[in-house]
Amino acid sequence: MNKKHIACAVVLIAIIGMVQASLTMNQRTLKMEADAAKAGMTANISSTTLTQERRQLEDLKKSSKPLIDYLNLWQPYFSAVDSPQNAELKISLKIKEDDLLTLSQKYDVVSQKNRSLPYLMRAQITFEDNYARLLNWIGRLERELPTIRISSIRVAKGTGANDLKVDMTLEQPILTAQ
Amino acid sequence: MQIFAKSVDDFKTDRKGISPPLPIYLRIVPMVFYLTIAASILLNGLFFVRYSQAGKNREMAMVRDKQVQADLAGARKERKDLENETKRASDIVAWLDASRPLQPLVVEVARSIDDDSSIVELRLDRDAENPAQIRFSMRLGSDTTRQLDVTLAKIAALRFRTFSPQQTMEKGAIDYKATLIWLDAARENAALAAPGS
Repeated sequence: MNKKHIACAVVLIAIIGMVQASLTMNQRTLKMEADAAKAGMTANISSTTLTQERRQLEDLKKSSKPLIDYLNLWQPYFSAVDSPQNAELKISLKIKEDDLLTLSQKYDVVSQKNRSLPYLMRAQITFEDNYARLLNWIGRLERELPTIRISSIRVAKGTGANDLKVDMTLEQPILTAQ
Repeated sequence: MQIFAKSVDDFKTDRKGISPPLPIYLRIVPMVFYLTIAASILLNGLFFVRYSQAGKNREMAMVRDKQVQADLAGARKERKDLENETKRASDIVAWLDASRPLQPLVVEVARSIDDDSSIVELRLDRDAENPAQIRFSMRLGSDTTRQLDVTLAKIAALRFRTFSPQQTMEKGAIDYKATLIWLDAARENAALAAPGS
């Protein structure tokens, strides 16, 4: 092999090197284009998901609007009685306002499964008073404390001619047990 | 001045070992080399432009995806908050449905009693599992069921329907038990009731 052959070999190696470099560059370009297409597809899928999510959100907003409005309407009434002390005070004040004769009163805080209204102030009260006064008082209690629930009521004759004996269990939802 | 060829030849050094020319097919190697350089410059330039463009497109797609993902997370959070609010509202509705005032019922039952009858005991208990249902029990001091019929008609007029009624009659007293469920005719269409109404 003479110098001319060696020169030819060197030039051929250079040619192969340039071709190889071009092929490598082509592969990198193709890979980058594939990555770009994949990223574009991912963005499109995300965009479609976002559109669906927004549509569902709008549907949910429309369908739940009456409920949310209802919640907003009632929320202040539930927030107004936030603690056991507050609930007990409100019921006691209502009794004192009408000066009803109470034979017994018992207040307990109980928890319940309802996560939105986790605690209840349960009041067990026994009255003996005039028939009309008692029934009017019960009506006023249910109107002025609209979130309260009479879970049990037992009405029987009282000792006087116009008297009633009433055993009631009242339940007032409260936000905290303390 | 004239220089003789012979004299010039004399200046030349002796050349020895001059290699023979390359075969004809190897003479295209330089041409291929130059063509390769030109093609490499052209193609690599083209590849570089495509590579840069693809890189920009990828970056733009990633930025767009990131933005969309952030929006998606926001929308999902908003939906979850709304679902929680709706659940809370449903719980409130359920509570209020099961807190329908009982005083009108008690008053109506008391008013329905005629002079010749009396209520010995009236009891209303909300069902522990389903508080919207009311267990109604009443002991009437009456010799006939006419009074009971009148009282039940008054209860029905308040839109309470009686289920599973049980009635026993002893001497001068009637025991009546039933489950009462309030029927809301307007529930499906009308707006929900306002507080204190």
